Amino acid sequence: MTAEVNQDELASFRAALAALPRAELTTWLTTADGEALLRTVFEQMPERYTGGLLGGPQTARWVVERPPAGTIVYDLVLTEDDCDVRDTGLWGAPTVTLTLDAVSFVEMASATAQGMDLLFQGRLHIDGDVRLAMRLETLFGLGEPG
Amino acid sequence: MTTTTDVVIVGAGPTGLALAHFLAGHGVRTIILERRPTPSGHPRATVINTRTMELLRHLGVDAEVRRAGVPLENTARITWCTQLAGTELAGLDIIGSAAALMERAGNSPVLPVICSQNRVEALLVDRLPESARLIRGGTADELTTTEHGVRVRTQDQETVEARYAVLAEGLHGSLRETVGLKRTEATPLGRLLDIHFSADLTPWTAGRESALYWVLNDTVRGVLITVDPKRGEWLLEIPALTPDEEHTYFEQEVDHRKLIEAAVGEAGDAIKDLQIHSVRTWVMGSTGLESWRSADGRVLAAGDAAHTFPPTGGFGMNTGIQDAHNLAWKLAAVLGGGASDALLDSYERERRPVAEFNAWHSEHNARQKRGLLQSEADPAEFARTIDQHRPHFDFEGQTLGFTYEPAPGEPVVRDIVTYHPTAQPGHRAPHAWLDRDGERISATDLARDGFALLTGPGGAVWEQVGREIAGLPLTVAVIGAGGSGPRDVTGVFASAYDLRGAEAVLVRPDGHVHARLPGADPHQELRQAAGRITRSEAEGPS
Ligand SMILES: Cc1cc2nc3c(=O)[nH]c(=O)nc-3n(C[C@H](O)[C@H](O)[C@H](O)COP(=O)(O)OP(=O)(O)OC[C@H]3O[C@@H](n4cnc5c(N)ncnc54)[C@H](O)[C@@H]3O)c2cc1C
Repeated sequence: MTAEVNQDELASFRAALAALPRAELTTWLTTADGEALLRTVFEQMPERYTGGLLGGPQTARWVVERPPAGTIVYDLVLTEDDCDVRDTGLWGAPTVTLTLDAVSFVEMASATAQGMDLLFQGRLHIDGDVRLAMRLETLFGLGEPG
Repeated sequence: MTTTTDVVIVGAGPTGLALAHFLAGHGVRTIILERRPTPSGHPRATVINTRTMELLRHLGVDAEVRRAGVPLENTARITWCTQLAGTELAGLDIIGSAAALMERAGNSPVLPVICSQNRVEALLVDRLPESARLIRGGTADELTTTEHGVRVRTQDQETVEARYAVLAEGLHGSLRETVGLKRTEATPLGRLLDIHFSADLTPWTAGRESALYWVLNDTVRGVLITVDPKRGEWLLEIPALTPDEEHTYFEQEVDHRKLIEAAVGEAGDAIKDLQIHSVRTWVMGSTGLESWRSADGRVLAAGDAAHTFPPTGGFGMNTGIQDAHNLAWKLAAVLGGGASDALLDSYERERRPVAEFNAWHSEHNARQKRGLLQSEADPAEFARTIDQHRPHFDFEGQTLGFTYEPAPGEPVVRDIVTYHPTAQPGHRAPHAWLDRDGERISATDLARDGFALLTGPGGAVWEQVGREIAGLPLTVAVIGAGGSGPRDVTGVFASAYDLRGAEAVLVRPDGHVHARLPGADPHQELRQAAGRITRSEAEGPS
């Protein structure tokens, strides 16, 4: 598996994920290739942003854990039309913070798993504005699992 | 023709269907007789609470129920307004903060969901296992007890013989009387008009999606219930609380369309795709039975046949399904010869106080809503008092925290709103995520098909005990940070179960804690605890 996987459409990405046992994916995501994939996923988030968030900009902070390798943190600054991917801390305190393991992040970003399911499996922790958290998947067109 | 089975169930409502599923899980054969040739399309109950969702998860239908329904995340709000298009009076968030959501996620592997009763029933019918046979159009006409069980005759002269009969015949079934189960009835609180309709109401609901929209205006004082916002399906429920309202809603030619228009606050042609499907009326009050079990012990009542309450709180269908869950393993143990028939007496002993609590709370809610519906629609007053109504809509403590073993003089529920996990006898064994060979399971999953003995790292002595209680399987799980048993990855198990040394918790097949055993003499302690089930001494769990 290489970082190119993410260039594919969601569906083929999901198929690639399904073929890999969780433990293997966990390990792979701690490698340099794994990190590259995670960063690509973040960079591509704006392309999927459907918009529609009213009011001023809101920041969703993603904290992606992949021990023993380093945690990857990004801020997505969301406005009515735009999603800006930034390094943490450039835009003040986040509206909501989502903390999850790398596999769960990849699952969520590929609509393989729903955020609410991950939360109820104890894999996703949220802090801050619950309403924004609940809307995130819809805002990124990930509401319906494939 | 005569057919023989283990248990004959009268009524294929949610209670009867759930019972057939739970019994099948224990290898018990059933025949379900249902008088309706086709299922009802009227939604009736809409709330599937957390505990019921846990049971549906164990049946493997929770994901489908969720897909067929509206997840709480889209309906975690209650709105009060003069009309949908009018002034908003107040809003109550059920999950108002991330902390509240995380707390719920810690309480259970599932969220409650809004899914109408007719859809739940359809799913349960669809998934009926082979050992459960549903006979539609089979009105049970006559029920007699025989030396070894019961005989039920249908209108079409079919005969079903079984060891036990469970009457899940709803409020209006008539077989209870014939076996001496006498009805009791509290003074009704009023009547409900229930209009099931479709319409696109999104222009007035977008951005404040709610489970319920209470409306207060001169024409209508009632509640719009979300059934399926994607398909635009709704119920308008209007209580007639005074003789005047009785007259307005029931005794003259009522224009149901006008009532919907008044609730929405727009003329009919401004409401897209408005179509009325069915209109029902419903007496709002509590009923019960003097006894839930016939004198000869062969017939038991469950669900609405044993108890009804006002819909305020949404406990009707949930209580029925949970009755079935309490009863199923006991019937299985008795039928399999593992326990004496006296075990079945614990069914009413445990479930009646829960049903009575739910009745009390639903009545309290109904009276409180009556006061609110008759009040002035004053936003300032609503803002000041609305949180007093929280227990009507936010009742995780009641849903998960009821006990079958309250201390003398204590109610079965101590905190309606907040659930406090405890693994004391009588309580539902708390949920905690465990890792079993890379798979994430809930501690509540270990007692899915039988008993479970859960112990901590100091409890290896329990591995030597037998693997069966009352003829049902016993799973022994030593849960720790390492070892071969499931791992307590989050530490939640250790804190919720609070086990000292070799102490273990014996969980029944319905997920409730039967006993805490110190582990000094495992064989003897387990024998004694099992004895209280198999011989079913009246003191119940300890
Ligand atoms: C209009 C209406 C609105 C409601 N709204 C709500 C709500 O919002 N929230 C809530 O919690 N609850 C609500 N309820 C109550 C809820 O529907 C019941 O609590 C629930 O249906 C109980 O399930 P049950 O299986 O015990 O009984 P039922 O669903 O009544 O099922 C009993 C079944 O037995 C069958 N039967 C009866 N006698 C015989 C016989 N002799 N032979 C064969 N079959 C027989 C009947 O046909 C029926 O299908 C509502 C009820 C009504 C009528």
